[in-house]
Amino acid sequence: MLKVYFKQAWNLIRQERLFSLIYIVGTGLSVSMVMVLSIVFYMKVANIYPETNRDRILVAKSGMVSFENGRNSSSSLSEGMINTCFASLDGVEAIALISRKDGEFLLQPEGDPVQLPVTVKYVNTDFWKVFPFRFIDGKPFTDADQQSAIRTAVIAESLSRRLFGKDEAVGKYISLNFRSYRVCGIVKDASLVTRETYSLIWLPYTLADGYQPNSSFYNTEALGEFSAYILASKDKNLADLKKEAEAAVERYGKTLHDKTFTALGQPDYYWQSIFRFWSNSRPEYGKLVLQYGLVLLILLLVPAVSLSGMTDSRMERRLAEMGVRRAFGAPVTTLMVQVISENFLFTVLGGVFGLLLSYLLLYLSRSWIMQLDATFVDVLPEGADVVFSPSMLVNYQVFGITLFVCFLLNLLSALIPAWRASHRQIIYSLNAK
Amino acid sequence: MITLTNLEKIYRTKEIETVALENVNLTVDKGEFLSIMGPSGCGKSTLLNIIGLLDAPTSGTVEIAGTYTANMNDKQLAMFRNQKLGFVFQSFHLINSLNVLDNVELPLLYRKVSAKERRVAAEAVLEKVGLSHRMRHFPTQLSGGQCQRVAIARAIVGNPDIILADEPTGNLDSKMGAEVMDLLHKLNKEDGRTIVMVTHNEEQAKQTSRTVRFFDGRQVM
Repeated sequence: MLKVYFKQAWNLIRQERLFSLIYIVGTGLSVSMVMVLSIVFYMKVANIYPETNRDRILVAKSGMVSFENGRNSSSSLSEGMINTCFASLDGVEAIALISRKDGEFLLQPEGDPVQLPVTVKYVNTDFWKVFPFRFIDGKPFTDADQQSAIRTAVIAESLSRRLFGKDEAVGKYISLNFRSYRVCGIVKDASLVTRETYSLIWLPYTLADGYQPNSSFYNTEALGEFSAYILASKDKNLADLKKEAEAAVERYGKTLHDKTFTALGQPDYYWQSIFRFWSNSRPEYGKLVLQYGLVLLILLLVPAVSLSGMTDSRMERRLAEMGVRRAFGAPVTTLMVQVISENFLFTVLGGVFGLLLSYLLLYLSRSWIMQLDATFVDVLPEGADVVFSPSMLVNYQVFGITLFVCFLLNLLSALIPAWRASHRQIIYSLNAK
Repeated sequence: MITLTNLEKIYRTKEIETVALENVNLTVDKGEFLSIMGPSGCGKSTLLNIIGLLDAPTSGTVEIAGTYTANMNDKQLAMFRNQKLGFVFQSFHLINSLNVLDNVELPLLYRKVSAKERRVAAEAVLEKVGLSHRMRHFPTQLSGGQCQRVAIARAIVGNPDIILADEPTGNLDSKMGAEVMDLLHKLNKEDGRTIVMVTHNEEQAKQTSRTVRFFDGRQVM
């Protein structure tokens, strides 16, 4: 039956070309708006290189300390707090530490008087376990390098090519802020889409300026310069680990003297962490989901109303056909299914157009679109470009979302016209011009 | 085969009440070819629509093939029409976005007959109406007479007992009209199908087994 419906819908497209074109383009425009948002969120939460373990990661970025005199301090977390709370938990495979002392540094290429601004991140050795970068050459820096603060660096492939061309870079030295670092590994570039891990150079966190083991900010013990990315082992239930980690944070807070500590509900699931912008407040996830859901619904409802009008006018033209079908034995429900199915073909064609259009829109807006939901906007590192890899855009999850959006849009736009067309009196339908 | 008892049809609006049919009592026997005649607006098409279960009477009963149709719901009516009745309309009512074969297969689609069986049955009836060479054409590519023959093929593909034809030659020239009438007579005589036909054409009515006449919603003969 569906095959027959689609065959007829295809014939209708060929016979009513202008109408079909307008309908498909209209559908495509609305689908593209929804898909841009959906793909942005997909890229923020899905497992994409090098953050391919996001579904096994808990994130603790910040905490707040309240002193007896009423003063509050909030910031990133100290190394001591992270290790005390999370390192000994059952089912933790690795904990990546990323220092907030990252930023742009100046690189002095050999034989070139012009210095190169580059992004640098200070991370620990577990960073490479939690975020499995692809090493093109060499290895990550070792625990020994990290402990003894030896100046070693992992660099991105693009930087390696720029500095050393096709020559082997591992073992060579780079000059960063006029300090020399030995290159120990080359990794495939990360995209700025994965902002937490993106960099051109990664250094052991023990090399960060002013780093002192077990130091903390403002004498708080708990607050410091790190965000923690806790990787659960594959057989560990993430919800259980989150509960255990929250309990550990609570226990830790009680051990502090003259102050109280809260991680404001952290560690978060990875998807929750993308909404955490402030260190002294807890996001209301329910409200956020509702807000984004409403935005998506409005983006669907507004075009659905006009598409519904177009579908209705097409059904008016096909009223006699509806009468004939009913005369020859089509029940009302069958006709409704037919109209909705036929319309689905139009919507899917619009969906395909919309998806392609959303790729174009994403490309054109790549410098700001990934920060659409941000409370404040980070300036892109100089010379950096947001690159969307094919795997971020072309995958079954994105196709699945597109299909679902089409299904929803189709239902919103075709249900009422289908109901109206199929519930008219048969005689009225047959006599329709 | 068809029994109408005390049939009445009244169209009501806020201001006006129009009696389309009044106290109609009519029986059509199995295998009969009945023609209904009368001036425009006398209620003959309304009567045909009620017999075809496309419209409901205001009062009275309709019995077809031993079944009273009064309390049937939409699904039951649809199934009954599909199994027992075939329609031929004055303006053909073919679906322009379907080719001839798909148009003819339409009634079988709602019987959940397999695609292969539908194809075989449709090809057979198109052969019967002499249009097997036009199966892949669309209705817009056919003449009026060919369209009406396709419509007849569609009406008989499901092998219904009764064919209801509403001025089947009304939109055709005399030659094509005669071809269509020949086809209907053939279906009546050779296949034994019961046919009820509304017509304005006295000559065509004379060729049928019985004629009933209507005037102002009443059966006059």
